[in-house]
Amino acid sequence: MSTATPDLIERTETTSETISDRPWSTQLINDEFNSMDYVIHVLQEVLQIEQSKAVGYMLTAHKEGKAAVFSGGYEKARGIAQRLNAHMLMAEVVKDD
Amino acid sequence: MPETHPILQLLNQLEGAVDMPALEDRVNERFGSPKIGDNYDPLDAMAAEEAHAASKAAFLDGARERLAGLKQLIPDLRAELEGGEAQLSEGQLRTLANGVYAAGVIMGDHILVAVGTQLLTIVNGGPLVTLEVAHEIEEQL
Repeated sequence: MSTATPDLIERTETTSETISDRPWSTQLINDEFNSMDYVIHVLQEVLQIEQSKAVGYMLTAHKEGKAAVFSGGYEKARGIAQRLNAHMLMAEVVKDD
Repeated sequence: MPETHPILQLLNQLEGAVDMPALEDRVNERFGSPKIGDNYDPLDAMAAEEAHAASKAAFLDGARERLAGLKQLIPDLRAELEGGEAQLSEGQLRTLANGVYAAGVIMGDHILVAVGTQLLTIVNGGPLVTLEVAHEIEEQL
């Protein structure tokens, strides 16, 4: 068990260094559980955006199944996804086309 | 026969939601597998897998924290309610709101989500979205 930690650290560092300059996005995924007003509230809090923009993201996810709420570096995309997830929203990190 | 207080009924229902092994199963089921596109090279695929695992862990941590807070609050709240009424501090109300909301999301129970949203409205000191925005949403749906 004790050998797992160094391997994980090495793998994470390698990944971060190698992919840092490639475009990634954080996508909000529609779900059947969260209320619309709660999603808007969390998007505003995590992304620090105006309510109208948060409404737009929420509606896009509701209608199309997902909405890109951030595009940029991998680490930031992953961090935003984690913060949304920690608030019970469904979000994932994908590589931009 | 004494009538059971509606909040006590809610607490009884919520106690089932704080079952942690079931929580992990539900979260695993909801997250599924990472989505790896055709344009992903092996390093990108590895990064996407790591992000997926981190997202799932963050969701699980968020849910655990909220449900653990609720679990801690339930006995005190029940004792107070059985005594007639309960006075909640702002922190306790926030814990209750977040816990009820999280339980609703985890259990897929829309009524609990609605109750949690209403409690969050109280904690927030007003609606989570303005009436104007609610109308805007209604028009666009």
